[in-house]
Amino acid sequence: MSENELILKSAGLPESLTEEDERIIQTKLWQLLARHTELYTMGDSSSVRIELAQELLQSISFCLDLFLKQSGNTKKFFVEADLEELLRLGQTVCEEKIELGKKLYSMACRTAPEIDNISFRDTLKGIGGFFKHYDFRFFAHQIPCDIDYQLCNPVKESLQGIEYINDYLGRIIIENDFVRRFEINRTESLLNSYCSDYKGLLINLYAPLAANAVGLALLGEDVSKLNITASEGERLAKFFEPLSLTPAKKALNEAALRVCSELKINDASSLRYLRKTAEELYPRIEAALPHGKLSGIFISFDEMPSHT
Amino acid sequence: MEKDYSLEPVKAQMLAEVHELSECNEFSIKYGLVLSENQIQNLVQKRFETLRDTGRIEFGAGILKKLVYAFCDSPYIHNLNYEATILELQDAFYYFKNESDDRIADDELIEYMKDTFDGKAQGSIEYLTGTSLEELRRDAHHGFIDDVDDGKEDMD
Repeated sequence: MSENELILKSAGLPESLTEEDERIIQTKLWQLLARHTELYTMGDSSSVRIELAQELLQSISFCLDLFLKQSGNTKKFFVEADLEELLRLGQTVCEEKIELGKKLYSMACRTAPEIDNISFRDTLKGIGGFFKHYDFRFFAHQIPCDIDYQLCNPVKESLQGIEYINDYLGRIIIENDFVRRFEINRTESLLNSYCSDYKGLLINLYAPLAANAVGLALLGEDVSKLNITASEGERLAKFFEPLSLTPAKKALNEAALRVCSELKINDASSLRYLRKTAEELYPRIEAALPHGKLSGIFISFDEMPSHT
Repeated sequence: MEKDYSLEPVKAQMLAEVHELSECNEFSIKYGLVLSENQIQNLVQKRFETLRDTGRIEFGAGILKKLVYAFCDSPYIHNLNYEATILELQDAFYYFKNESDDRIADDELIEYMKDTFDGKAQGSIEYLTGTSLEELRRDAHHGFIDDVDDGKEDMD
């Protein structure tokens, strides 16, 4: 396999193009990569390592894809178009996304719950560094920062570069907003019961709150109290015992809607996020039911605080 | 039939390089150096093999033309060792591009190679690659690229 084949394989041309289209696009990509590499090395080097060329090509593909998504065109458009011009337009889209990302980042920081969690704080801080180190001209597909904090509903692995960061930040904002709707002492009691080292370990802050809120909504209880007592846990087990997949998911979905209604969450994305979270509780419930206990999913506070 | 479109740019590059090296003969003949058509084909073929072996990719005409222009006036190169020397220089060039983590520009590296080859190495590729380029690699890793110039002064 030649070095050209090695790098052009990563361009990911779709099957729907004709062979002639593919040949034209590959040749154009090759020429564009050559010019782009020359820009990168500033003319100092006529050759680069294959790994670097692959990275540069991935960056080009990422920006061209941004252009396609923005314009609604398909890859067929590349056959006739000037790819260098499209790359420039893609980079402009990328710049716009960076500006949006900065706003999202600012909002994510502003809305961060006042709960101590090392991975959450470090990840937010790290994303600040992303905007300093992100090189959209040559490595637009890369994510130059560490993201340790696990979201309740993770970002699609296929997203890259600024698209990944913006999606991640959008999810963080949804989670922040949800967590901040509960009294902090109750939140901390729940997190402490969920994981005694919730400050130091890589746990998601949103997930246990969402599960308990949904559980309380299913029982018709006040979702803001967050605590699910042992007897309430038993009631939940009895509730789910006779239900098959479809009615159980329906019940979880409706409970999520009730949580949003009680917490006055009107945003469609937040609603979707909680419904997805609620539905995804079902496999865990199904696995726990034969043991008769849902205490690993719907958490009881370790020590009953005075406010319950 | 299996598609092999991605080889098209390589073929185009090879043709361009053969043409460029043929043109080099017009310049190098002043020093009594001429590459035959077979030698040119061989050099170009070996260029792609070296690139593959060193895990590099090259756009455009490549480095052969620059090597020929830089080295054809060397007193240590004559028509009998011309092809072999250029081949070895080409290998050394790509190897040290990698070893220096691309911290040395093409022209700088060729200039250093030429000065050392004609100077301290007295035409010995073995000396050039075994000692001087190793020093250059170490300097590049430690950020002492300016020492390239110092090396030139030593040779003077």
